[in-house]
This record gives sequence, structure tokens and C-alpha cells, in this order.
Amino acid sequence: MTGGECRAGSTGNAVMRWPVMATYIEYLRISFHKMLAYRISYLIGVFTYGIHVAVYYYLYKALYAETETINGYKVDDMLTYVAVGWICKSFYLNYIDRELTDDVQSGQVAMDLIKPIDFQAMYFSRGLGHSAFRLVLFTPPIVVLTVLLFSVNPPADAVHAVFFIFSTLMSVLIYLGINYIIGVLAIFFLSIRGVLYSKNLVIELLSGLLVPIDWFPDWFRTMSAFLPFQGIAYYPLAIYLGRIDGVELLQAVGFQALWVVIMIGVGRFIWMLCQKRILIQGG
Amino acid sequence: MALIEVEKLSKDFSILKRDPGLKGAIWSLVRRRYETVHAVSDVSFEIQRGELVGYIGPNGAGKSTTIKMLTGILIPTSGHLRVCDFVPYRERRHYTRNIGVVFGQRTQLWWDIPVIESFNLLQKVYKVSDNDYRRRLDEFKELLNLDEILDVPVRKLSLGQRMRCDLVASMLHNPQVLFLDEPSIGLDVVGKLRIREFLQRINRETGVTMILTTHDLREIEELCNRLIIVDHGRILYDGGIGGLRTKYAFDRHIIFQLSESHPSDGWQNDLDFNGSVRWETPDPLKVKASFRKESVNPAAVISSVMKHLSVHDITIEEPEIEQIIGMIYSQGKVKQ
Repeated sequence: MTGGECRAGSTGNAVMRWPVMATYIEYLRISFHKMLAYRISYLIGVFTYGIHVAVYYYLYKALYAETETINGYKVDDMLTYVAVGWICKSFYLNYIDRELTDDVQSGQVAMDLIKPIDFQAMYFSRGLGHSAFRLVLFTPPIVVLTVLLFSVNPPADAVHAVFFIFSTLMSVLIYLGINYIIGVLAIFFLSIRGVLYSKNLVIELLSGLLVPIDWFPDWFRTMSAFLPFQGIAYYPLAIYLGRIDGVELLQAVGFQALWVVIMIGVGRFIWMLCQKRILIQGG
Repeated sequence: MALIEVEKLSKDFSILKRDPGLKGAIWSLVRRRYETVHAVSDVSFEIQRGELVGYIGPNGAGKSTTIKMLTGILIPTSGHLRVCDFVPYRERRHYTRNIGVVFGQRTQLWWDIPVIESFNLLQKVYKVSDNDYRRRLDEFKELLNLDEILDVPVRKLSLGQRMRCDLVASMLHNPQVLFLDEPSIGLDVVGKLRIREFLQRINRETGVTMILTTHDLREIEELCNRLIIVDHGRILYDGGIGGLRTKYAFDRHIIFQLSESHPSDGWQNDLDFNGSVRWETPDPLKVKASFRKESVNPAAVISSVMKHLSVHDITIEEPEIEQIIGMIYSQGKVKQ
């Protein structure tokens, strides 16, 4: 028999013309579904996250006890920066780094490698599933909590509100891209937990979530301009507050979009290397 | 052209070797010594469409390594490999559409959510049309008795139930080849039987080619029409199960229970079949004849004995497949 016949399959499979996205939307859906299975840990998560936000909120409130303005941020602006920053983090967060390293360490990754799927697209979909779950179920209680307890200003104006939403979507993708890369890289390191833990601290600091980027010395800001991290928290928040205006709005979102593309490219490249290692050494 | 072609396939792993103790651990930081392990060496075979082949060997014999290479998740060190006209590791994403894989130690079901969700995901992954999907799922549901467990989260299933669901998961896209790596590991007798019946049936009905590794030789005996025995990465035997019995110099025994004790001697002289039957008399009421299956007709032996002695009962002993395979493992090679 010829190769052609074999490939077509003599078993009479009618291959459905599903759009390519259907597979990955399904991964998003199932990942969402999986999160639903952990109701208790979800409730505990909301509770501890609320405390976390409150701690930072009161820390900044104390910082402003003696003064009206710090580094050009009025107290209202700063408290809004903190509250909105943590609200956003509540949904751009995902755990694909941990899922990826767990799967590789346990050998479960074999079950993904035997499927006709793009590995990165699958993990991105799963990460988006986490984000979707959090946006629908985790973020609302955090929003209610912060808006009720703290003073949160609305966005600067309608234009900034629209750019903020767009910029926040970008930050979800940047975080996803970074998390994927970290997950793949962690496979090469021995102490995976250590890598994942320090990743969280580094991202919180470099993204501008803990302290706005423009509070840092010049060298730090220059460095940040060449790193993707400020696209995660600082840009959306600066847009929200109206601190970025005019052409700079487009520049900020353009910066984010560029980093999304770079992160996806870098992620594909290092997975290619990592996959080769797995395929040669058997995990 | 065979569906699966394997020629001189080898896989080496290099493993970091450490000397024991703290000193060894510190040394290994600066001076790394690697040791090469030949997991699979020089393995060749061909499998035709529709065959059901048992691939067996002791732990560490290289079975799983071979299966991993065949499924495209391990790159061979050397040799030629072709399945469904694909080189598995090179065209993995296209190739994997054509195969189903069950690893008994793993699951491809999502642990925390109902089984049916994983099936729905697989429908999209393999782009199975709604019609085909529903038809196959209905059929498998009935064959494997899944009605009540489809809505149960996987973590709440028993091992047997989970394995049945994993089988369905591997067959939903109607693959041309199904690889089963110890699918019955840890299952009870009923669970094993169910899986055996299922495999037999879908092999017969869909013509799917199957390669099965297992430690359960009963399973091999009942399911497979062909057997490949490996150890230390090499093939020791490749052929039918019947052929295994005849190839090995194993005796068949017939034990006669007598109703009165046999004469002390003389009676054997008429029954020596040119010396190809050995006679033993463990006690006065028992006579045991041992001979090679292919050289002596057992019916002839029985009728001759009946003529000379008063026989009360007859038992025929065949060598167990376990015995034969145990012997192959310990000898490490096949007698030609």
C-alpha cells in the first residue's frame, strides 16, 4: 500500500473541519472547569488575598500620614494605584508555570506530547482559563472589598478607561508569556520551587505593583524600559490614573504588544530546546 | 508494506554516575562521569495492519523505551523507525493523530473533573466529527459499562473504572495503532477480563493494530496472536505462542493413575516408541510418560498404556507459558 492511503487512514475517519481555535478554547474551558473543582481553596484564596491587599493599602496610607504628595503621587492617586493594581493582579495571575514543571517532573508531559497539539498554545489556553476563572469568580469579591472599604477613584476619563482595559488585556498576555518561559526554564534547574518563588517576588517588584516605577532611581527606570515587567502593572495603572497621556498612551500599549510578541517567540524557542532534551533523555 | 517497521533500533541513555557518599557528591560537582546505558539495542521487527502483538520482558528490559520511541516521544539513538508511514519523532504532531496510547501508570483524563469533560476535550483535540464522536462514545459506553461513571470526577473512580475510561480516551479518534503499556497493571481479575474482552472486540471490529506490554502472561495468551520477548534491550523471541511451546524442548507429561499396581517390569518394553518416551513410576499406582510433543502422538501413548495396564484416571500436563518464558529470561537467548 502506498503512503498516501495510509496517511488518509483506511479506518474511515471523517475529520471534522473544526476551526483551529476550537481545540484551544476547549483547553481554556476545561482549565476553567478544573479551577471550579477547588471551591474551598478558592474561598481561602479570596480571604488571604483580601488581607494582602489591605496590608499594602494601610502601609501606603501610613506613608502619607505626614505629607500630601510623594514623588508626584497624591494620596488618593496612590491608594487607587494600590487598589486597582491588586485588583488586576487577581486575574492576570495564572499557574501554568507550576502545572508545566509538575507535568514534566512527573512524566505526565508524555500525555501531552502524544497529542496533535501545539504545546505553547495549549498552555496559553490553560493559563487564559485560569484568568477567566479568576476574572469571573475571584476578582468581583476583591473589587467589592476594595471599593467598599477603601477610597478608589474612577479612571481619569473615558479615553483612559478604554486604554486601561486594552492595556490590562496586554498585561494578562505578558504575564502568561513570562510564566510559560519561567515554567520551561525551571525544568533546567534543580530547585524548581525556589525558581518559582523568587519569580513572584521579582515580578511584583519589577512590574511596579509594589512601588510605582517612577519612584525608583534613574538607573532602575532605564533598566525597566528594556524589560517586559512594567507592562504588567505599571503601564495599565499609570494609564488608569491619567499619568500617561496623548501619544504616550499609544507608546505604552505598543511597548506591551511588542513584549507579547517577544515573549511568545522566546517561549517557543526555549520549549524547542527543552522538548529536544525531553525527547532525547526521556524526561 | 508493514504498518510498523522497526530496523536495528537502538536507544542509549547517558546517566550521571556518582561515587557514593559525601565525597562522591562533591566530586561529581567538578568532575562529571557519565555512563551509557543501552536501553534498547538493535531491535528489528515488522508488524502488519490488524495484528495484536504482545511485547513482553522483565522490568527494565526496554519495553517502555521502545513504546516511547514508537509513539514519537523519544528519539532513537540509531536505527530506522516507521509507523503508518511516518517517522514518529520527526512528524510528531501529524503522526499522533493516527495513534492511541494508554500508559497504565498514567492517565490522560483530567483528574478533578467529570470524565465526560476529558472526552469532549479529546473530540476537539483530534477533530472528531460530532456524529463519529457520539456513535463511538455510545458504543464504548455500552461495551465497558460506563453509563454511571461519565459524570464522576476522575479522582473518585476506582483504578479499574479509570483504566476503562482511559481506553475509551485513546480510541475516540479511531486510531490506526493502539499502544498499550501495561494497561492492566494493578487491576483485579474482573477488571482485567473486561479490558481483555474490550481489546479483543475492537481489534476484531475496527481492525486496529495493537501492541501490548504486560507482565500478565494469561493476558498475552488469550489476546495476542504474536509474541515478542525482549530482555536487556534485545529481542529473544518473535513468533506465535504455539511456536514458543514447540521451539522449546519442553516435555509434555501424561500421568496415569492405575486401579491396580503395575507389573514390576517388562511392560515398558512394548511401549518405548523408539526411545522417545521416558517412563517413570513414582509409586506402584502411578505411571508417568514424558515426551516431546512433536515426536510422539499422545493418543498413541494413551492407547498403548490402556492395552497393558488398567487405568483409572489420566492427566495431561502442558508446560505453562510462565515456565517457558521464565526459562527464556534466565537463559537470555533462544535456542534455535
